[in-house]
Amino acid sequence: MSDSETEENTKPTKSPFKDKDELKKEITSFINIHKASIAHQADRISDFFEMSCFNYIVDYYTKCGFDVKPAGLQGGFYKYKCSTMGVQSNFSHFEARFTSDEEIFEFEIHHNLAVQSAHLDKIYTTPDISIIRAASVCYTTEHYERKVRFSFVKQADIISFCEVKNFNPFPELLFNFIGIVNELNPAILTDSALVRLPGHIAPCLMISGHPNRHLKDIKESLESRYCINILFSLFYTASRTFSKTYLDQLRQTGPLTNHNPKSSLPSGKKDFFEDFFEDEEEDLRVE
Amino acid sequence: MSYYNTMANENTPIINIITSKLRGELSIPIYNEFSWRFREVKQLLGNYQYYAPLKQHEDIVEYLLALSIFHNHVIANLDGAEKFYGKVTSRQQAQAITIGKYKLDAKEVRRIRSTLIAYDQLLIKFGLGRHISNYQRTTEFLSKLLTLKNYEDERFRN
Repeated sequence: MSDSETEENTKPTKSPFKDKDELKKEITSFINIHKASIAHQADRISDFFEMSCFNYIVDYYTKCGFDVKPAGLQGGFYKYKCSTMGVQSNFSHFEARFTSDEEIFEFEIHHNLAVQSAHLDKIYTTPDISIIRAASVCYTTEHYERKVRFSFVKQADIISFCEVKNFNPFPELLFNFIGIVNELNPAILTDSALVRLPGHIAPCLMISGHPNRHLKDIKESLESRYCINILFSLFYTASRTFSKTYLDQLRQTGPLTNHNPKSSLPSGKKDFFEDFFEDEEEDLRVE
Repeated sequence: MSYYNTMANENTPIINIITSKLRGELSIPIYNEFSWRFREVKQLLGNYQYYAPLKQHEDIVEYLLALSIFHNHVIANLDGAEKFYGKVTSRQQAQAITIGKYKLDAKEVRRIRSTLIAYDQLLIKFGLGRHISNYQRTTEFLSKLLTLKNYEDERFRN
């Protein structure tokens, strides 16, 4: 690091309220300098969010002791399936392998793969992320009237799934997720889902937005009834949620009674702003 | 509509500077969210004593609100893409990621990283953090600014 850089880093921070003109100038200049690059990425922004959630799930499996690596590369490229269209074999996915003393367990983590309903064989829904048994993707030409190939995974081969939403949560979004759970794994609704070994993450609803008190209550209520994970504010909480220390806070597939995390979430160890904010909001006085 | 303004000068509202040249799918949600939140900001600053210390800094609130919305719609997603690229290409497993015809390769990731680094440097310079953008209600955002202002006042007093 050069002397000038060191000097820059050790300078006391400026105040946004006292150095107003400088802040305005800096924000404007940052936007103007990077606008071309951002405009260039604009079409992919929502795909990028889905990608980062996919990355958290891959991380989860890595931290749980699986050997995880990309598979199905297409000419050396990882081809990301960002819509429900297309044949799965033309896209990439991740392979997750768990080796125990006696056995090797192999799974795959896919994006946008159709999954057969638990209620009727010929109907499907497509979660954003699916964890399935290895080499279990099926192909048929009977699904579409045009007889084109359709790729899906059979109900017996789906292990778990995640839905990703890049916006602020609202009550109906959370309740609608239970509809998907009912379609893909109704045993969760009667708390009779199978315990899987090795353990797998329970169905997740992953949301970028921040919840209000009502949504936190809904999450608490749904999670007390069903073995699912509802994750809010992913941009800010994901590093903690998917950290090795608190990984056991995420539920795994199986009955609710199986969820006994050893770690406890930090209550007094919030970040600087959160600490101040929460205290002050309680004292909010409206005139 | 005003978000099609492209030339930035000191009189151009910051939201127009942010949204200009961005495609509608991205610029319209940013612009709309800013519009209704800034309307709320004006009402809150005008009607509630609790937020009165921010009233004389409405211009800064406007800039930081626009920046936080920009963060939530753009920066956070670029950050996610950059991390996923790292995962896919570690141990030389893949050269790049393709999404349709778009290729997220080393060159693209360098551009993204340069934006992310510049953004973080901007926040650090003014004692801000990415958490300033973590809110749902506009009141939460204003409370964060109020907290920051109280802290700044204390810092400069000492």
